[in-house]
Amino acid sequence: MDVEKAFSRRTFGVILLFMGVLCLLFMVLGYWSILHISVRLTALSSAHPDIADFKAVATWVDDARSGFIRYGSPLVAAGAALWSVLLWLAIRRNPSKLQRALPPSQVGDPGNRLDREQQDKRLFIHLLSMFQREGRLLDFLSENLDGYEDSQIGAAVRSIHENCNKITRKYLSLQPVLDQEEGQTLTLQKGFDTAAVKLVGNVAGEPPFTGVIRHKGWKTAKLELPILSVNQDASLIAPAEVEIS
Amino acid sequence: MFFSEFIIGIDLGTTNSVVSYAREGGSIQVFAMPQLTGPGTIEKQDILPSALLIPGENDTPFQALVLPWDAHATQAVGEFARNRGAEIPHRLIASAKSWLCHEMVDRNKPILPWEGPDSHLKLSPVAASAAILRHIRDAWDYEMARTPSGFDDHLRMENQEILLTVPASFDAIARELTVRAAQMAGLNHVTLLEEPQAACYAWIEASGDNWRRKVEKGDLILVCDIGGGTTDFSLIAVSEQNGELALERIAVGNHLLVGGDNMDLSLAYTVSQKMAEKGTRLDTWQMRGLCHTCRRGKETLLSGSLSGDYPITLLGRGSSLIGGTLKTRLSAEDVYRVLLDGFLPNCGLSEAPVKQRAMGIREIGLSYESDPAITRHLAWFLSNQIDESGKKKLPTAVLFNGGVMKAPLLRNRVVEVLTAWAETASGPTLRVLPSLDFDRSVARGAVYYGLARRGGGIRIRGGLNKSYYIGVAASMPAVPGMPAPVKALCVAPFGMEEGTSQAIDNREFVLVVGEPAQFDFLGSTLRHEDRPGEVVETWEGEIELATTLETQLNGDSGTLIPVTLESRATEIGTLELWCISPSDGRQWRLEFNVREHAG
Repeated sequence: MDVEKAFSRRTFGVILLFMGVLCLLFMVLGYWSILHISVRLTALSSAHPDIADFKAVATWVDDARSGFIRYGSPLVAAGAALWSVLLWLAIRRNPSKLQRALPPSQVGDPGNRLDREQQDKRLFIHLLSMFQREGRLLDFLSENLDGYEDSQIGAAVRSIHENCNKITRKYLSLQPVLDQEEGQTLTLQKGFDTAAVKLVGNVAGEPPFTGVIRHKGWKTAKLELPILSVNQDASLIAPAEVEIS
Repeated sequence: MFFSEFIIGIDLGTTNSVVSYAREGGSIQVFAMPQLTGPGTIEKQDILPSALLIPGENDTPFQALVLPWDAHATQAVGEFARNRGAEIPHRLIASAKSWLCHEMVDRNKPILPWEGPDSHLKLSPVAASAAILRHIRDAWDYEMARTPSGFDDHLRMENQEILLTVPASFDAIARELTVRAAQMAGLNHVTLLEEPQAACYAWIEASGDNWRRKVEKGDLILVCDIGGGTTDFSLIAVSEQNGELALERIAVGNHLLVGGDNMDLSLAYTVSQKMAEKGTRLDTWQMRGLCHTCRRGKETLLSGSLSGDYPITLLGRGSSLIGGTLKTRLSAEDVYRVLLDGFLPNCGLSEAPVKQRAMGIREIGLSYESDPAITRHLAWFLSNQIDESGKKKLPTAVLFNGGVMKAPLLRNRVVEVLTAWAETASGPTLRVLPSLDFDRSVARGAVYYGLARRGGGIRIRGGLNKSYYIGVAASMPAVPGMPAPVKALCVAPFGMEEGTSQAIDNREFVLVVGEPAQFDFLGSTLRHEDRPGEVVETWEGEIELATTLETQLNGDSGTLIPVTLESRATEIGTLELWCISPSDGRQWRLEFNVREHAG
């Protein structure tokens, strides 16, 4: 599974980095303390040249200091590497941890990319097909209006408007972006959402800007997407109808 | 008592179903049910239309019925089923619930869709109800019990305590069948609750502790429940017990097959008749569109938000939309005339529903009421409620429920009629108890009842909704050519409480081992005073034959066993009748015969 592989690669990286830092810290600290002890002991032994033991210990510590760099540091590094591998294996072997680490939607077979593309296409078409099914919107838009009186068109629009409005309410539950009425004056402070409010006209300098609301904007209050089966032809908006008598 | 995570209320309606739930101590929520709303489209909605579509091979696109929990579904329940079913009616099972109490058909035999062409695609009324319940169960499990690695059995619907509502008018047989349908759907922890009672619980829930201040001792609450397909009346009396107000359901009306759908259809016919007079004839497709538009027109005009006429446009059928558009109007006058005068006419308390003369051969389909005047049915129901002193009991308060009652004008008409009756009988004035939600109250109330049962809240006492009898032959010399008169032996009295039993040991019956024993089973909504063991000699018009009861005794064939009868009202709301042998205590259950009988 792709997700699992990506997860295991990522964990390995994190563990390696963590162990490297730990290892470096350990070595710096170790070397620093040995250096410190060695300097103090050398000072002590030169202050009391009559005590032979001091000198022997100081020499031994100084030897250990140089040995730490030569032998100690590779040893610690190798140990850390071994620990990293062991830790990574332990985490990777435990799938339940993986389940908990990821949101449920990513667990299981997410379907291949083609299916998802098909699903996206159907969702895009779905709203149109609802407008057609309930409100006959596409029939209306594709009709040539030249041959009809305004009153005829008006009569048809009443029904189309009502049914399409029902669909808009059901799927989008529209809301204005701005709560104030159109025509009112509004002051926009620094850091306002430029995606939600579009400035037109003479825009210059820095906020705050003051202007008149020309359009309140639209947004959806809730968006509940239907689940669509992927097997239907995504290009189909409305089926043809044949009546069997 | 059985303990579960959730308490679930299922309002399995004739046209729409609603499910509510709550955790103990939590608030009551409405469950948004995933359902097919179009081919291959699944959406969640509070209301699940109680429609079941059993399509043939060519009726729906490939994999159009696939559900998230069933990749091989061959039936659909819900909105898509209703909408698609309207186009192919012989594949649609609607009003399965009304068929459950239809005595002229075998309710265990695959007969639905009625007059459907393919016998292998038919279901029995019980199985159709089970299919709707199964959809509800699967939808619940999918939404509420699903975990990333499977299902949490603890949260599955089958492991929850379920209150399933039935019309108050459902008799013992229909209740038994409802429980059987629930069992077929895998729901074994089901308790039945009458819908008007549930509506009353919803009112109590909505009022909080205040309800005690809104009614007083001696009040009589009429629950008037007019849904899409059926109408149901109940009377609930308020009394005082140990200083606390107590509620008791004291009467229920007959099962009336008339409701909002009939109203929409009547309006559509009125409009189409007017169009026909001008030379425009509508086909079935346009008629269906007209019915939808009339429903919306009815709601708009009755809500009082529009003065004048409601414009109706029927768009052209093909892609030439504007050219084929038909235009007409639904006038407020027509709505008032058809709905108020047709369905809720002003009438006297003494009026009875008009019975149409029975024709020689009656078609068997659903037996819709021959008189659609709901107020006349109400008058008949109320005029049969008489207290000890012989005075008629009139309601002092009314609680409305059901989608039709959303319209204030219709509610006002019922109040007007009830007030007029109270005035002529110089009775008390009528109060209207507020309803919050006419569509979802019953499911909410059912959950409230479930919570009250656990937590010791107020409970409406009810018991059996009818008195039940067994037919016994009169001991008199046989007269050739004359059937022996049948007397009715009361076996289960009206109001018999759940969880109690009644032994009828003053009378012994002799049964033959190896041969089927059969009893006539009768019921009455009118006789409330008969005690168990009492024999009613003349009962014409007051007691009706419901069905027959059957059992088969095993043992040495030919031997005779004297038995006495015992009736048991179960905790879950059904009635059982048993034969008991006094000598050795052996017992046999009498089963309701749900096959067609000569009614």
